[in-house]
Amino acid sequence: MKILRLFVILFALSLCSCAEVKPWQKENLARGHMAFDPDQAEARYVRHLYTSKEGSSGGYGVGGGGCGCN
Amino acid sequence: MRVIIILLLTSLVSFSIAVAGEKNAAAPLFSLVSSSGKSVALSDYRGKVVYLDFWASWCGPCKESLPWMNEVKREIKSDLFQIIAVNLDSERDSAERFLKEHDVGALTVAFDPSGGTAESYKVAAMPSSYIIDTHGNIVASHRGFHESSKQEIVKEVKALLAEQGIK
Repeated sequence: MKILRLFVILFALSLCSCAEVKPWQKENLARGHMAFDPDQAEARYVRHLYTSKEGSSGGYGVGGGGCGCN
Repeated sequence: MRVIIILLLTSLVSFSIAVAGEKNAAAPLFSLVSSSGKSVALSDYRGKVVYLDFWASWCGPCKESLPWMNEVKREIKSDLFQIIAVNLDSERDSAERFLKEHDVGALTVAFDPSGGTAESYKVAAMPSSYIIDTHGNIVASHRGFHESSKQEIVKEVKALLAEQGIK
């Protein structure tokens, strides 16, 4: 039974996949509605508030939106 | 045991791998098609200084980089300097629309919808550009396009052209 359980777990893990997305395949991620923050000005304001309150920064955003441009 | 670990670590450090798309490596050859249906093959550009740029219609910085490249080519009129702009859009229509909206008359635009050429250059960001010398070697590469890149690129290109006796 233990071995069967181990096989089931290993089988389930093998069904997972990591699909690698090349930089030039990120067309859909570059669309406006795929951005984390649609309003840049508001986002900057909120980020500033957060940085002030938390005394730390970072952990947000990807260069050039989801497309990773620049 | 410790000796073995130390030996393994030092051997890892001493390996230096020349990877395609890196500085001073031979630029991977390619043969693509231009918008007019003509063949664009890197081998035809031997003896010329080539600025190879990978772009796409959806890439924000490309809206600035392509017109800028066009300007640079109009400024550096020498035939020994050529700009090849390889488009990586999966749909040709998007690329054609972009080309209509921006002035790119001085550039040679080629299409690589499958991304095979980009793969061979190990393109890691959009856009990416490579400066290839007259011997077909990559002498510089740029990831992304920034305001600061502009001067650097022009300087690198002019330096290569100066070697060929062109100001």
